[in-house]
Amino acid sequence: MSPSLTPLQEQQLIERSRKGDVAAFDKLVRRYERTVYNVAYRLSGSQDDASDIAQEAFVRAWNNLKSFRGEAQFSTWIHRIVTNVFLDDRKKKRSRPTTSLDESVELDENSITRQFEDSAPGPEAMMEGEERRLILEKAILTLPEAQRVMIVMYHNQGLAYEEIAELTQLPIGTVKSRLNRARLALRDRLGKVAELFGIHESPSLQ
Amino acid sequence: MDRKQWRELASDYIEGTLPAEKAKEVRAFLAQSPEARADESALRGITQHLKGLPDVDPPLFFADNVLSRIQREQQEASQRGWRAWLPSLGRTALGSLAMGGILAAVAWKFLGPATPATINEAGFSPNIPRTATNKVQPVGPLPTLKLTNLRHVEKALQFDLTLENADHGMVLASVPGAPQPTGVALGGTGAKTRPLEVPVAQEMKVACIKLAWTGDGQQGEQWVIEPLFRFQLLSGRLSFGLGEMPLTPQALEELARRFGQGIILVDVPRSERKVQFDARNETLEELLTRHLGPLGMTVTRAENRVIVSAKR
Repeated sequence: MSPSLTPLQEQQLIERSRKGDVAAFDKLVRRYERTVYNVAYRLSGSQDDASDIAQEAFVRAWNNLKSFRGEAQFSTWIHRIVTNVFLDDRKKKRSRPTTSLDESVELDENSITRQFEDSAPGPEAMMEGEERRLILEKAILTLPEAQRVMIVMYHNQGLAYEEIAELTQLPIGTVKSRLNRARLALRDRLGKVAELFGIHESPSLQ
Repeated sequence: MDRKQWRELASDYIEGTLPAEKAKEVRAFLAQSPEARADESALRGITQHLKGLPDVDPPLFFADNVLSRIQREQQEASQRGWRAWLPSLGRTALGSLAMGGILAAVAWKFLGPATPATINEAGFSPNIPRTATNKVQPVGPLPTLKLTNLRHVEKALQFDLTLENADHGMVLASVPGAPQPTGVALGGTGAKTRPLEVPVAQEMKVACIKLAWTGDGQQGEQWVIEPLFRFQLLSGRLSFGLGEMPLTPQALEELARRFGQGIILVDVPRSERKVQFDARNETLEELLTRHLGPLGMTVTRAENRVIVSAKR
């Protein structure tokens, strides 16, 4: 459980950290480690990568604390950093390509997507919650990075459009359309399996 | 409205943020398009499940490891900054080191008269344990080489060497890669305690010095593994997995570097075996005790350094 901090306590810790107080920064790390690690995990899909990415994010945060002016919330700032670390990491990995059967072939947001093929039981089989979770997590990882970032920020981290816009330096309209495309891409990748996630609502109720 | 237009509006529709007029248009389209209804149902379900994906726990000691990395990098950065002020001679020496692949270009300077000598290439000697060079078994406490007051000074390590329980002896000091060790006499007509200063190459993160000694017919060996930067771990504890490492002073440099603490090996016998080094939220002392204790070594602490000795 991450220790909670009042805004004032957090501000004081940030100030002390900016002056080089490692013990103060330690408290900030403990406050945000779970959030940052989860963002890294949802983006990378690997616990090992997540650990590296999250650690690098905190180290970058420490090294750049002087540039943190407090105009954005610390949580937004650290989200931005972990997202950038993830994207930088992917760039590096792309420049040293390796063949992986699990790797998604689409890297650009606008590239044509392939249908998600899952080896899990077919639609006929009753999908348990755990199976459904695994299928969904796998599908998220096949999304282009830009879309994956949107899904993770909005749905996993519960950030508002405005926060994502600030974090990604994109207009809100772009965030919304990118998120819409990401959801649709997920739906398309899941193919028929997507119907098993379905919630049926009568259009007349809308 | 067609399916493409519907899909562009899908998220806004599901979130209820479409203007009333547009929402009505969408509802009408959904009513007559089974594919669009399937989209809508799937998107609602996916959205709900995305919100319900469980959090995962960060690895144990994640925060500890972040902090120890920050402290280590701070120290390394401050060293880099310090080196920038070194005279050009020092930088030239660094360049030579890099090109030659030599870990340390060490010139030995003793504070007092010394007798140069040559020993074999630095490394664990095959017969390290205190071994009599003659057949006479000594009476009373065994001769011991004591190293004290190890300290960093600018561009050098300084320490005092004392030969205990012996009238006279000789210490040969060397570092891996250095062509020749240098000897210093202890006792006899001179002092039994002698200060020693070892200049260290600027590029080194950890100094590794071998002290081979003889005294009153006994011999022994010590390795000084000393980080050249200092940081204090908040908890003194770390967690990591280094995998298998050979039990050599050079391999132990990595542990000294990670913990920012020195290690002194006293009469540790040469071993080809590899040890699986991992740390489980442990101090350096605890880690070495767990891994080396079963191999017949004792681990103690003195002057903020961990001493590993072969059990007698």
